[in-house]
Amino acid sequence: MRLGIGADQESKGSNRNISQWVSLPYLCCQAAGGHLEWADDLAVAWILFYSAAHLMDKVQDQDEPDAWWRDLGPGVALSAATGLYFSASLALNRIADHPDTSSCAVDIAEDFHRSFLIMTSGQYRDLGGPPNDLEEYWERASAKSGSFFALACHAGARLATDDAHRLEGFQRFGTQLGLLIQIKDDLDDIQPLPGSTIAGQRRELANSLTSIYTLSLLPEVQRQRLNGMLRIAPTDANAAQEALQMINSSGATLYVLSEIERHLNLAINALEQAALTGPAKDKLEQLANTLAIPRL
Amino acid sequence: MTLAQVVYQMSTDSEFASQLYSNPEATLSKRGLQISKEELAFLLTSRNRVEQDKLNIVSLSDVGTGNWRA
Repeated sequence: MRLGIGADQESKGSNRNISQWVSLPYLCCQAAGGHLEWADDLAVAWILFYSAAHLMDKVQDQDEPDAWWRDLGPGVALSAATGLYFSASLALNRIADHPDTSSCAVDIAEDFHRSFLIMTSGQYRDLGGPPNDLEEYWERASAKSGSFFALACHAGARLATDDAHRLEGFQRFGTQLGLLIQIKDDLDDIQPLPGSTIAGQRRELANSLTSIYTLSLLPEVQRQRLNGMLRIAPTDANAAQEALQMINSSGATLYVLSEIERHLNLAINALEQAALTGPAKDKLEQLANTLAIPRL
Repeated sequence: MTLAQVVYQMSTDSEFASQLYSNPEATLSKRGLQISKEELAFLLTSRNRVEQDKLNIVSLSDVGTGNWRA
């Protein structure tokens, strides 16, 4: 089974879901000098771990359940997530069975488990409420999204090379991709919920980059006002509107755009360090550039 | 945090914003702010986009969202 595509194939997936990113382990393996098929088990393990973590995240955050477990309850979702974790571990073990990849199987398994421990720590911190400031926001984003994408890139490349300097480049590239995806996911939290036309009327807005940026910089009185608006925004359209006005006036749009530019630049620089070979380099650059904000 | 501080001051103090355009290094230094040349370039480019495309946070989310949560 092949989940992703190589450097010589065209993506048919939407850039708004996981399908596009499944190619990361394959492309990084190829870009480091390996063969596409070396990354099959790694890609399966990565996507299964992602699916398990995503499911547990939804239960923890009390998000809207998916249709398949809406009536069955969160216990069933947690049970399925546990099954996905063990399935992922089985896929990871298979890396050791192949002559071309067996020598790096232990390193890759350790990389997986360390990365997921870091992600778990970020998830745990979310239980304590929104980040207190921008520094904490970036720490959590790096622990969760950054670590996950860094894993796909670093482990994919590790299948083909043990050059520490190059591997660090792949790791940095993945981290920056993860941060960019987190920024865009936070922008999504501003959009109206299905069936509504009111932007910002969502619980997630309080945890988003735009809110944390604004709360970090506003004077105390206005900060308290915004915190109050964010608290009631999910059930009060006027509060949601006022919160977005305060966020807009603080320059959050400019800040988010600047951060996207900065992280894209860091991602491209990381590819230079990874000293890529072949057409996979162009594909990885293209993937990063899908995260740029298109011109209107 | 400094990039955020510069953005906030640009957005809430029009005099600071215009001085930043004409003489960035001196303007930042006067306020005790320090950002890299790359960050300044991203900031000024992004500022042009916000003005030209008349972007606000809702329209930015319209054009730039993705459905990922790790």
